[in-house]
Amino acid sequence: MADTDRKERAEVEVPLGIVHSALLEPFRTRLFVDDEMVVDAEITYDTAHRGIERIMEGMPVQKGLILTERICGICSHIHIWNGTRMVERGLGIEVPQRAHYIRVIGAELERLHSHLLFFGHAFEILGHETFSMRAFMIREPVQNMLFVLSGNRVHYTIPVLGGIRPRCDIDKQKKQTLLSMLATLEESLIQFRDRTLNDSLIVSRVRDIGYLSKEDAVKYGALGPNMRASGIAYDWRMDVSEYRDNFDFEIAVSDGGMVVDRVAVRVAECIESISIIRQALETLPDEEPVNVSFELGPMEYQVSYNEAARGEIYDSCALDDNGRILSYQNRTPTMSSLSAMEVACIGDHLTDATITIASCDPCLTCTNRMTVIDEARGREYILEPEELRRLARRRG
Amino acid sequence: MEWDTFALTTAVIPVVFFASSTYIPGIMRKIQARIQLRIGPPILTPGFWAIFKFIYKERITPVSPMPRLYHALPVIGIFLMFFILLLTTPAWSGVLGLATLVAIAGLVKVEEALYIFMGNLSQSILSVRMPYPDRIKGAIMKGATRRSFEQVAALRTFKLISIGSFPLYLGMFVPAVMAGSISIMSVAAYQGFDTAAFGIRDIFSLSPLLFTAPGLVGALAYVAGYLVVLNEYPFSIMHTKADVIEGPSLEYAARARAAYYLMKEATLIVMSSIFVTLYIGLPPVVGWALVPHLLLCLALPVAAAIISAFTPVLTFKQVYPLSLGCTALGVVGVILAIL
Repeated sequence: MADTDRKERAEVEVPLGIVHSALLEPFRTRLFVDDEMVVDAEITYDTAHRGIERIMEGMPVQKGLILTERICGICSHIHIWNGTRMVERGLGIEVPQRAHYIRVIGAELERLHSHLLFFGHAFEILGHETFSMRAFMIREPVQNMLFVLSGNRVHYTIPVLGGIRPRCDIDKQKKQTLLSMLATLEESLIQFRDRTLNDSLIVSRVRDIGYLSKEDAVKYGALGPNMRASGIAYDWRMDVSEYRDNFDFEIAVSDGGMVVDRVAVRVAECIESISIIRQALETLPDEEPVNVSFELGPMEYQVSYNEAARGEIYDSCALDDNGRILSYQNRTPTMSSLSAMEVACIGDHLTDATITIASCDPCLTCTNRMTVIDEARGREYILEPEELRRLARRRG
Repeated sequence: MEWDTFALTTAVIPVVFFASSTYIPGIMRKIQARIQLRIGPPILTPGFWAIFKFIYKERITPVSPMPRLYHALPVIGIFLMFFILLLTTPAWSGVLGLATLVAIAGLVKVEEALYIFMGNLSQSILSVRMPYPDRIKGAIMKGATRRSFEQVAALRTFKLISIGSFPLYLGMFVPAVMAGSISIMSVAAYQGFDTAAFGIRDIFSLSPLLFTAPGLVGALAYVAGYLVVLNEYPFSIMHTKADVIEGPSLEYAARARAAYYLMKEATLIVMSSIFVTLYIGLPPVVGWALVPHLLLCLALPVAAAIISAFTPVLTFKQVYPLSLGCTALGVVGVILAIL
């Protein structure tokens, strides 16, 4: 049957969300089904707005950078790191190599706990409570490692302009503890990988569903592991000098484009992250972790990219004469990865569609913004609180 | 018929089973929790105290064209289950000629069909969120009919009834083929049960069909069907959290939810009791022999708890072949029984 014929037949709509037990984030999904097979889908995700970029406007850059960490509770470190390295580059601040290493350790630990959180969530959606619990159990030592590294389990605030906070520096004892915890983690992660990816029932649920071709991944802008699971071998870490110049690592790629590939790519990335952390710990340069001899001042518009656990993140801003933030912008990977899932879930069973959508590991807290694009006048602006209130009054 | 035994059985058996059934969800949850390296809830919490908790919750009127009927369905289910249970007792074996596997199979089918009625008689608020396409953002416009979670669940129940529970019925009939009768008491008598006088010491004189080749194959088919009828993992697509959340029972709250829980608990123990009667040859009787019967009734819920801890929810892509495989197993059991 031609696709158009199927779409015309799809008159039955099953709405999921905004609030739904399988969708941990606030987005609405409309699935158009033929019997129970999805023939068309629509995902709307701009239902929560925090206005974080607006709050940062005019804020001192140090304060603003700490606020970037609050964009997300899962990938908090990568936000503050990307923002910090953007400002450091713009102001020409030299950063010690030791700080780069510790920032990378933080980012890779974050990738590990984010991916393990994804496994827990994915198995929960599959209805496999035991594997979900085990994923969370394996994740717990990662949180403990972050606690050993930074003193916090979430919002670690490792980077600071010029390096890292002294409390996050790694002494000999901390290094030994982290290496020992890493070895245990690697063992349990490999056991988990071998158990889950060889479980015929699990594989039968995640194979042959959620297909996203390489072309569609490019067309709809799938990012990070979602893009690599569709055969696109690109990872921003290859272009970030802190990674590229210091560590050996492989990019996990799979050609399948299905949910099982998105899971497998993340599992492989976890193993690779452990390797990077081990390299960083074993070759940690012996020097001061922070450079405090710099001055804040005006900064031209700067852009910085990095590879978060979910894919590419983008930050940009400028600083005024007093080192205050002008026009901070942040874009997170869910915005485009989730859109790609509209295409990926077509052809799935209704129950499979939810795991397909979840397989892009959506994180809405860092996605929603209120930027207005006025095509007629060709301009783009952030909606002011007063303007919002005025519009609300007019509607009421 | 001895009227005093009949009256005693009618009064005692449902009460004892009703009380015992409230422990089973707690035992199942505890087993699953231990498999998952968790402590799990206290044994009485999920089945026993949960009932009281719901009884004292504020009552709500569901969004339903017939709310009273919707609320009555679990109560009907409870009565149906205990009626089936009574039909498997020696005291009820002569009542209206209903103590046969055909009658029991028919009544279990009615129990399964209750979920279809539940699904079609309610619509939760979760299914009517944002009831209009957001045109301003370019939403997809179709002449769309909205299908609620409950309706989807009802559709799935229909599919499961159509094909999923075949193994259960074949599993029921394997002992009948071996005994050469569809009467429950004849099946029990075939295994050495004495309907006139049976004491706890006579248990060791039973020759359970479970320990024969056709009996073992039939029992495996029965267990698969048991999971389907219970809508337990991996056959829980009717109420999978991933899409339809609680399925047909989403709108049950307060006392109605307590009744729904009791119906589920009754189904757990009664279907297990039928298994013990058919495959061990030990029907529920008033007396000390009821104790081993109740203990044996734990076997299937324990097996269900272990299986469900290691399986995901299966979609129909997996349910159909699996169900067909288990049906084939049941057919093999019947053929072996004939041979």
